[in-house]
Amino acid sequence: MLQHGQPILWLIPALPAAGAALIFLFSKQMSGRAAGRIACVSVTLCFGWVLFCSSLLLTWPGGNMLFFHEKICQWLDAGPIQSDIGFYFDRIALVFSIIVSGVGLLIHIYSCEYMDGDEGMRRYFGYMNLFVASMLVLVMADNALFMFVGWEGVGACSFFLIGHWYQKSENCVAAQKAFLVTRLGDIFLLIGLLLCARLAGVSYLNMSGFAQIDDMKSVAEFGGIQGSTLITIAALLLLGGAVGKSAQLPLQTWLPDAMAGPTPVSALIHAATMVTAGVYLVARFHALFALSPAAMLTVAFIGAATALYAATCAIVQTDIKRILAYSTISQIGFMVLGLGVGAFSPGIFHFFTHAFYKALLFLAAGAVIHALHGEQNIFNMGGLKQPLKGIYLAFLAGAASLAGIPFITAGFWSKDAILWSALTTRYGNAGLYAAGLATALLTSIYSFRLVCIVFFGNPRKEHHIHPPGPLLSWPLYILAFFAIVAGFINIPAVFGAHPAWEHFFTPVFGEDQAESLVHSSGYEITATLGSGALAIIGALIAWRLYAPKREPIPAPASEIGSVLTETPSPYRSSLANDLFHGWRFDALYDALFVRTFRIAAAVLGWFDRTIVDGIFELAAAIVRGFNTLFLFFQNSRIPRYALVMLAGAVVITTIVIMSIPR
Amino acid sequence: MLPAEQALILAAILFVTGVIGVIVRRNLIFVLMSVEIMFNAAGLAFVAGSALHGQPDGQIFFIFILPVAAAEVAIGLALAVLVFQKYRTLDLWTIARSREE
Amino acid sequence: MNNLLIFYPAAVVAVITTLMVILTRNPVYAVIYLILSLCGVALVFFSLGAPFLAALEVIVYAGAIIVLFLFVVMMLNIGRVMNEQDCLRPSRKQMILPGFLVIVLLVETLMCLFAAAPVNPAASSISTKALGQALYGKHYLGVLLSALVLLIGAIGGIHLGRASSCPDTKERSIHAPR
Repeated sequence: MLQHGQPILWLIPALPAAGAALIFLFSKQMSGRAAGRIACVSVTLCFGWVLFCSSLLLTWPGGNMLFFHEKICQWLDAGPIQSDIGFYFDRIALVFSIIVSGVGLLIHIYSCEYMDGDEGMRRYFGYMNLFVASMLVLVMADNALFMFVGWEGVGACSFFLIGHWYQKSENCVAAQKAFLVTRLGDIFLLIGLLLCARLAGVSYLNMSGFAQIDDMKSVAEFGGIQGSTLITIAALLLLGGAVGKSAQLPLQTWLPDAMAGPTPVSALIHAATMVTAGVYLVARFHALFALSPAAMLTVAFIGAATALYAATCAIVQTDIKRILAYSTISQIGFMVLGLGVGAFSPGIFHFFTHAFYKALLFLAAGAVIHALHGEQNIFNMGGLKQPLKGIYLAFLAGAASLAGIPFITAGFWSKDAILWSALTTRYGNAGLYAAGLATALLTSIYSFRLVCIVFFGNPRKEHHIHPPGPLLSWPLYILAFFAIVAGFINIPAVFGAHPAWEHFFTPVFGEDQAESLVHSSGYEITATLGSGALAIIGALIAWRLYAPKREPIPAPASEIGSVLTETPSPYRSSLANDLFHGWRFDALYDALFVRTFRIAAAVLGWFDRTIVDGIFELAAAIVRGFNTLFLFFQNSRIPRYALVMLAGAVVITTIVIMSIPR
Repeated sequence: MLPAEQALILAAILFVTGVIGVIVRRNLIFVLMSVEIMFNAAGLAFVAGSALHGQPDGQIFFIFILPVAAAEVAIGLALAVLVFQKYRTLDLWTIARSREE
Repeated sequence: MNNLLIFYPAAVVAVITTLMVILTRNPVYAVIYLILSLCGVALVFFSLGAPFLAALEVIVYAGAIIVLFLFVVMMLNIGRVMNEQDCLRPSRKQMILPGFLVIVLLVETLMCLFAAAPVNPAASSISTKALGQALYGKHYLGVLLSALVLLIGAIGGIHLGRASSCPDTKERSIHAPR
């Protein structure tokens, strides 16, 4: 498959991996800043090479170049399980790797200042580079097993980075939670991949357009289950993996806690490298999902429910990073909704714009936290508009894009494309559309609530504000630029523009998907204007509630002075408190799984101690009897050993002599 | 009697001497030396067998015994040094007694 | 006959010096006796028509392996200490069982030797060239394995040498005051 003149693909993940290797190998010899510089250079080179590969792919002479495929070597050769190490670069991989390396690069640059002086800086940059490398492997692997390597690498790196400040035990707990919850999804994913491979009758799934789909379709029955049911099961198992990684219902609980890591890590996890892996997975296996209407409906439903759920939670949070975390869950829910209704390219489009504005919001929030020396509670902030002018403007751009302020922001165009698809495609229906609209309204409210409380009004607490340096601000400005303009590449045709994005993926997703997008001029304009109006209404509501008044807005459960970040229940209303705790999912899981497990463990522990151990005690008693016997031979004096060996030699010689025929 | 057969007898005598050394001596260094004597006796038996049969294989096995003996001595002496550093003696009975305490 | 002239004195020397090795009290003497014993065995090899092995015996065994013993004995400087402790010989009662077993073993070994079917003695000695060809031809795998054994020995030696510098044993190292 190697085309003449195609670029070397393995360089893309190898560059950041080499950076990580350099940092880890020579970490004792280098300073933290040097590690940061190495990390930035390696990601810069990687980004440059991605751009080069992308431009080659898109401007290939003849114009019919759909993908580059590069097989490095065989990786596994274990009977029925075989796999290659190889890279596959089509248009999905192109978009994802540009985002991963580009946004990753900005986050790396930002980290150089943000993490400056941290004692774990070398470790931090090593894992950041490894994180980017793993994600690039994930999106560029040419077969499912190799993709799983990247998938697990991403999970491991997120574990290390969330637990970066491991000295505090709650950070470790958060890291473990993230790892274990996503692990649960990974198990589903692995079973799903193996089931797919078994159905397709191949040793592993390759990614080239998922060519084995016909083989899977033709399986009539397997293991007593009908073929079409099996395909649904396989799709749902893959969805389980995606749900775990992308923090969708019901495995969303890890993401808000993952805020324990440094803020740039959150930005990287949310915008580029980790949670979008689920979106990538569903998009990559679109052919499988498209075979099963039930699976598509489940995907869409999970997306819509998650979007709505997270938006309701975000609206009452008090920690700036938790608000953004819930907004990520909500926005990923939008992407999954888009994928579920068959609108694959709008879903990826939303990923594309989301990466910019979410990275921007996180980095800006990080800059605010940095400026306030670690303060994260928004009710301890306020009035930061003047002292942090640049950050304020960047944050405003991000929040507007998140809220979907019509026409001028990227988030508006991508969200609107998903909403319109949710109403009109084959799998869409009015219920999903309504949930999406409600979410859009809530999104707008909580994003402007955040802006109002943090940047307007009077400072609620005295802070010595530490101004951000150029390395902190410039990535923000670049991201802010993209958070505004990235949407203009896919303005719907009804507005007289050329929706370049919509046809960009036609070679990948095929005509199936292209047909399912409906365009009817009158209604579409109405719907677009309607969702835009909702965003503005939300912004106005937020302004009405949280605008600067003469009296500063009281913090919920406020006391004079600072508000604790870890308030157990900050609100008077119990509903608000339930929302604050993410609908108390953690408590539910605790009751459902942890307590059940404890009871089972207690019962089994009793059984183990009395009955199972009893058997072994008996065995041990027998062995102890032999021990006394053997103690004669083993009395730790070497001459005794020699004597025993000599006796053995005599016995053997005697046997030999007896056996000589006479 | 052929010299090769006499050499086999010599090998047996040397081997038994080594065995006696291992059993009788209480000093680690002497035990190791006795083991070397046993190695050498085994090698001598191989060479004698080789001469008896007119085949090179026995001699080759002596060549194989050489690295084994070398490795054994290297590790055994390193252990002896460690033991001496730890117990201040090479007397096996004293060592065994102090380990039991 | 020439060979026998070499063989008998060499064998006698080997037996006597070997006995001295296990009987002497001073380890330095023991090492030197062992070298003599090995030289005697080397002469036996020579008389058996294996001159190359005789050279190897002297060079590798006596020259390298046994000298290692000498190094360790010198390094630990244990001559005097050992004399005091090693004087304690096992009592007669303790010697009965090992002595009996050793005698049985010797007798049985000799019985084995003479019970075996007589072979036609090969007239000519094996040339070093034939030895080399067999070594690197038929037995090349053994050569590789020997190399591995040596490597493992080297690694083990290095590892044990490093272990002696760990803090646990350092405080009781040779140079530390008693």
